[in-house]
Order: sequence, then C-alpha cells, then structure tokens
Amino acid sequence: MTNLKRTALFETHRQLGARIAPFGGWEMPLWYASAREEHLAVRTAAGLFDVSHMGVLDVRGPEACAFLDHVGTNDVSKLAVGRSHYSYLLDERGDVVDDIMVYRVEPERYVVVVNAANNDKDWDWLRAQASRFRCVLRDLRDPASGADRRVDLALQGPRSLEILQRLMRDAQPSMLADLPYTGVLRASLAGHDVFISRTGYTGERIAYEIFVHPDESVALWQALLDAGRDLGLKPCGLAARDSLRIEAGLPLYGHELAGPLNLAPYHIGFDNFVKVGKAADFIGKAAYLERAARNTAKLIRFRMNEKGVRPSKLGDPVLDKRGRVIGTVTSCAPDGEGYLLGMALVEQTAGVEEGSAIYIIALPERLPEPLKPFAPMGSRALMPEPSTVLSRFLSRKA
Amino acid sequence: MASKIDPSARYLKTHEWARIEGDEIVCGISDHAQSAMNDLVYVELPRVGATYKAGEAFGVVESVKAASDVYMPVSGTITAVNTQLESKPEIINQDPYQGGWMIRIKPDDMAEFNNLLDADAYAQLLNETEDTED
Repeated sequence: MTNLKRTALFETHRQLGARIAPFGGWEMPLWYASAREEHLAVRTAAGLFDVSHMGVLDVRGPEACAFLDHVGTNDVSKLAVGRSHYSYLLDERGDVVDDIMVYRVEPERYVVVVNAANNDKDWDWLRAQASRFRCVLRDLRDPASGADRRVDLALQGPRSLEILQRLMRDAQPSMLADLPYTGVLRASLAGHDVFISRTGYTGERIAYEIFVHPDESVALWQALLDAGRDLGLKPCGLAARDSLRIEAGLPLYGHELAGPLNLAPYHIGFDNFVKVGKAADFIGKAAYLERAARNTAKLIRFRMNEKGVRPSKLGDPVLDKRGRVIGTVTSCAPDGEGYLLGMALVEQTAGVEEGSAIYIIALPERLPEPLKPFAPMGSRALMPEPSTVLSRFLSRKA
Repeated sequence: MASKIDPSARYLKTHEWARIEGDEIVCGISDHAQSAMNDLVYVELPRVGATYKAGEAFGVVESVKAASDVYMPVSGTITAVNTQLESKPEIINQDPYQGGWMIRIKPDDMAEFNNLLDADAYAQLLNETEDTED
C-alpha cells in the first residue's frame, strides 16, 4: 500500500464506524453497519455515497466541444446546456481507456467525471490530446482550481429529491423537481454552491450527484444526512455501490469494461453511447468498428437460484447444462433479496436468453482434488450452481 | 466500533470462540470476525464424524468481499454442525455467539481448552488489532 489518498470525508467515515479499505488508490468506506441494509436503503429510501475519490475535470473554451468530440465516443455537439451524457475514451486500437460522464454546465464549459483508478492516466491522455484544441483542461480537485474546485457526492434513491428540496430555497425545489434524467443545474444547497445532476450509478431514476467544493463536502454531507434521517437515508459504502450497480446491470471499469477480458461497449450492450455516425471523427473509431463487427460474445445478467451458495467473482466459468464452458463471470454480489446476482460474458452462439438456465462454478481459492470412484464420504467436489439469466438491465419504475 | 465478547467463551487468535457445554465444545466465529467480514453469504461446514487437529481448518465463511477459513479450537471429532447456516449464513452476523454456532466437538483432550485465550486476553488482542486496522 503506497501512499493511499483520503477524501475530505475520511474522518467522518471513521466516526460513523465505517470499515475502510483501499480502492483505486484511495482509502474508502466499504460499509458502515451492513452492506445489505445500505443496498436496501437506496432501493426503498435513499443512500448517500462519498464518491469524492472520482476524478472531476473541467474543459472550457471555444473548442471544448470539438475536443471532447475528438476524445469521446458520444456526440458532444448534440449535448444541450444543462444536460449530461455517458461516454467512452478509446485509444487508437479501440481499447477502452475509461468510461466517463460529461456534463455541459455552461455553453463553453463541460465537467468530466472519470474513474478514480484511471484519473492520472486519463489526465495524461486528455492533456496530450487537448493541446491541439482551443480549450483549457483543469483538474477540479487540484487546489490550483481555487473556488471552482469540486468533488462528487451521490444521493440516490426514491426519497433523494425530497431530501435535497429540504435544503433548497425559493424556486429551486420546484426547478429540481422538474430536472429531467441526465439534467444538471447550479444551485445553493444548504448554503453551498453546487452543481446537481440527475445521474448516478445505482439504476435508480430518482438519483442525484452533487458537485461541491471539497472544503465544504464535510458540512454538506452532514447537512444531507440530517435532512434525510427521518426519511430512512443511510450513508453507503463501496460494497453497496458495487451490489447496486451490478443489480442494475451497469459496467465497472476493470470488470465489464477493459479488464482481463478486454471488454468494449459492444460486448455489454452499451454501443448506443458510441456514436459512429456523429459528425466528428473520434480516436479509435475505425478500430472499434472493425472489432465490433467481429464480436461473438455478449454480457448477460444472472441470478443464482439458491441463497447461501459460494459467491462468484471475476473469472469464474459459466457452463451450459452439458458442462461446456460458455462464458466467464465478470462481477457478482448479493441483490436486495440476498440472492447472488452477477454479470457474465457469454458466447452469442450459446443461445442464452432471459430465463435460460446456466451453471456457475464459484472457484474456491484452494481447488479440491478431482473426484475418483469410491470417493470417501466428506470429500468435496466443485458444485456448478444453477442460475437463471435475467433481463440485461434491472427494470425500475420511473 | 467495539466488538462484543462473550465472557463465558475462550478464543483463538484467528477469531473463533469456543465454549464448554457438558463434555463437548461448541465453536463459532466471534463478533469481531463477523463484523470484519460483513454480510456473510456462504458457510462451508464439516461432516459429522470428521476428526481434526487443533488449529486445522474445519470450514469456510465467505462474504462477497472476503473468504476465511475457520479453525479448530481443540483436536477432536465433530459431533454436530449447524446446518441452518448453510441456507441462512446471516445468522452468524446477527447472533455470532448463540444462534451462529458452527460445530460441536468431542475433544480428544479437554485440557486443550485451557490453551485458548480467555475473554480478557481476547479483548486485549482486539484492542491491539482494532487500533491498527481502523
């Protein structure tokens, strides 16, 4: 563990009794009391996440749009002021450098949020490309960004709108209620100057991210927890963040994007965020198209049929009913009901659809000896767990 | 957060608890251990009749973020296992010292029980580890 970073909320997490662990170069809360209760709080009430480890960049200038259209796969020229979109950075080979969110906060100003673990790599990549465009790239977590500094907190779940409204005045509560999905607005929240976007990583439709100055993040965190306590708001750690995004069918860099399987948007059903028809050419487009045309695999969501079975993880084999390997698990975590739910990459030719039966072997750290005839009682074999393929995404009521 | 300790039990450094009940020993994992693992989703128990040496792994507990072997407090023969845990591993999280018991052991030598940490020594161990962990 070399030089782990801490967010401004680190001591707050400790006081809340969080279990802390390293993640993406940061010491972050895994959970406070129970990851399962935090998961359920987001689905039924609301959850507050410290995601201030995420990279927050700022691109402004007359060619900010052209720059982002050059490095990103989504069509920034179609992005309205006050809206955001999900996009990818690809390299020349068409490999995914990172998945990003782009928020158009002013006509010539965009905020870009990148994965914590990729922040430095993305920064170097973007800076190298930006020199050709009339735009200024800044790191909004760098003290040099002064009053513009921003970090990300996420407030997710059905009661999150009401919680935010309690901390807003005048016309702002109704403006927030009218904010469409992916919309972003500037507001005063409990007296703090923030951007609020209706976005998130939990599959909830009533879900917000709040961009606040890091020096004010502790006070805002506390104000949000106080405002939401009677509504069932809970602070949530990375374990619930992971189980919620898996349940929702959303990719994580290193698992469903890039990673050991080198996955790309076309594998996972996200190719609609790669606008190959947009006016601007983007880095990696030709290679991406060529590879997408040759793709023979797809991502599925599955649930194990029984509780109390060994949890699966990235790399575990997926079998058909004849015991043939047809895929690889990418992520797995308990869902809101306590069943293990995951995602896996499977061959398209395996004919796996929603409702199909598949079998997953959760490989233990120590593999048992292969069974032989007359195996003694008490010896153990690897047990393929019967699992059922789900719809690609969690269906949520709007 | 301070973990609960059952004062009537003895402990292993690997966070198993053991209690004498009649001529048998009951064993599970401590409140500290379940809390460190968080929500358990999988428990692997031994076969009744199996024999193990003290310190040998007899089972596995897994949460999504971690897997851990569970070790024998004394040498002996398994006389009962809490099969309820196989479908409801969360019982260990909710009630580690009573409902969350894992195995009953017929010890080869009951005197081995005295080699285990008493509640005070275990509390001291937790103080030291929790200071460095958190």
